[in-house]
Amino acid sequence: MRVARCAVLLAATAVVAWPGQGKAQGTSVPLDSATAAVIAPIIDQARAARLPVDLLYVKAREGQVRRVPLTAIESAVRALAQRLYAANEALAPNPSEQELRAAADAMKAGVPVETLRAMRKAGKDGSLAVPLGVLTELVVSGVPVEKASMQVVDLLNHGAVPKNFIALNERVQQDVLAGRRPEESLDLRLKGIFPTLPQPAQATGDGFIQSTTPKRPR
Amino acid sequence: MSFAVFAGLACAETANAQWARQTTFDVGAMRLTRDDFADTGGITAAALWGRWSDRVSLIGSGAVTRIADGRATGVGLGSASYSVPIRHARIEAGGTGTILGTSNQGPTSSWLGFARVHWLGNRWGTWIGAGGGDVHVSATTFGAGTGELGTWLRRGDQRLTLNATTVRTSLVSTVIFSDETVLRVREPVQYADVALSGHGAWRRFEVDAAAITRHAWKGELASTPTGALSVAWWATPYVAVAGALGRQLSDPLRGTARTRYATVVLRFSAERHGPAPVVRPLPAVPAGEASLIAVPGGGGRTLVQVRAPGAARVDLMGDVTGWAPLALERRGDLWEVRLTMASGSHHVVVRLDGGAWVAPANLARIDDELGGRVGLIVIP
Repeated sequence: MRVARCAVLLAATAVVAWPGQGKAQGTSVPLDSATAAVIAPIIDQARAARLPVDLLYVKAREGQVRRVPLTAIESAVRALAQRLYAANEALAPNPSEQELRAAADAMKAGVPVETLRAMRKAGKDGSLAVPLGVLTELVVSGVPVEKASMQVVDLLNHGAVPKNFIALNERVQQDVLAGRRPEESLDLRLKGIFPTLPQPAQATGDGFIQSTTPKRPR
Repeated sequence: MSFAVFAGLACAETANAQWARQTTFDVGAMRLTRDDFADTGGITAAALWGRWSDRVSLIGSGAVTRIADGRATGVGLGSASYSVPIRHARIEAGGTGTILGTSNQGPTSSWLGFARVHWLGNRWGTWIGAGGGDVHVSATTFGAGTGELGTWLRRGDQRLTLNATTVRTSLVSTVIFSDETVLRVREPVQYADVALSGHGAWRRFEVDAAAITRHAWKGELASTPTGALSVAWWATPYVAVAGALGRQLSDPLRGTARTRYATVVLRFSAERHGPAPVVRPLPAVPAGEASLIAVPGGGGRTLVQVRAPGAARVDLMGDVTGWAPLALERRGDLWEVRLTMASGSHHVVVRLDGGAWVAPANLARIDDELGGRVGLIVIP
């Protein structure tokens, strides 16, 4: 009988080898008491609104580590909380923490709340964390916010998934580093993305994407 | 119940922590040989669930085996620990539990608590620890105590560990007399195992090797040096063929005997393994600047690579590290670290040779509202 015991123990212990080697490196820096006290009211309000307060703590920790004055930390945390409130409403009903973090970045870059609502509608139940992140990168890279917003929503309408957004973003960023105009690069690279989508759009010869999304009757 | 409460508290305390994951399922065949027993074969299935952060370690695993004569055995192992960092030291406390059952025998179990102190460097660590608890074998419960001392070295995906473990416990022998009187005899044993083990990963291959020797000063458990080797080849990022060959020493804490074994299994993983996909080349930058890419890679972790010509030290921090500086490891002309990064956007900055924190030159930058700018990366 012990033969069988050995066998299972062997199998079990073999797969738990090296557990400690996977441990993460780095240790979170605790907030000092002064910073914690300054942001406490903001945290309380955010918690009452069921927002992920970890994002606010992380922002405060960033300010503390970078030795920013307390007033600036409070201001930054308050501004982030306000964007989270707006994003939480726009991405209702149940945005994830990753979506809210990405949405807060997008809004900081100038993306309007209306775009977030349109993305939620187009993306249905899929996570918008990656599309929002890519939208932010496109905007801060120099693509006009209206154009970037419209194209990201259109990609979602055509069934684009995170890997499509990542691929698009990488190509645009490479083009920008190589000196191409961001807006021009986006037009060019969209031509390579749309044909691969579940509901492909048609690229015209003049650089515009002809959407095949059915229009909703008014 | 207590385990669940502990795990819940630990997770709540580390909501921002980095979590590494390992989730695998093995199914395959084995061949076993014992010195006083005929060879036997069987089929086996095993599963592992592991989660680690910088403070919490949670591991659960289980296996079932059915050998040629129809008998079956199941085992479950659980382990949980919590660590408190104090500068370069880390104090860890936790417990392990094992339950072993067979088709026609009562279960064997052990419950051990432990405490360890670790000293951690950039590529090395050492620890010392002690533990104790109860072992329940053949309807007899007795105590067990352990002590351990070890050190490890790491270079990229290659790791080497040397550790010594002392064990003080008992063996139980059962004698059944002709009048059916059952007598259980306890024999105290004390021994030390010294093990040298290594792990390496090269693209699709992963290799683990171990050599162990046992010295006993009470009881008859001494052993000549022995070893084991296991290899896995990841046919896809989530499926591998794995094999193992070697000898396992007896384990009085769990009631198992010395055994030679050979296994071949098909391994399924919930996390990606093997070579990381090349997303884009790391852009060249002039001396004094840095470029950065993040590549989703093996084990559910993301490989962050930084090019910083001329730098003797590179640190990284961002939301993913809780804004704690993290020293990167040099590999050739690049600097690397593996992090668990959630899907979506993240903020990072780097520091070269202890200078100012700056956004990597190749990343899109966003105002951090704190008077600076941070690099933006998007993880799929």
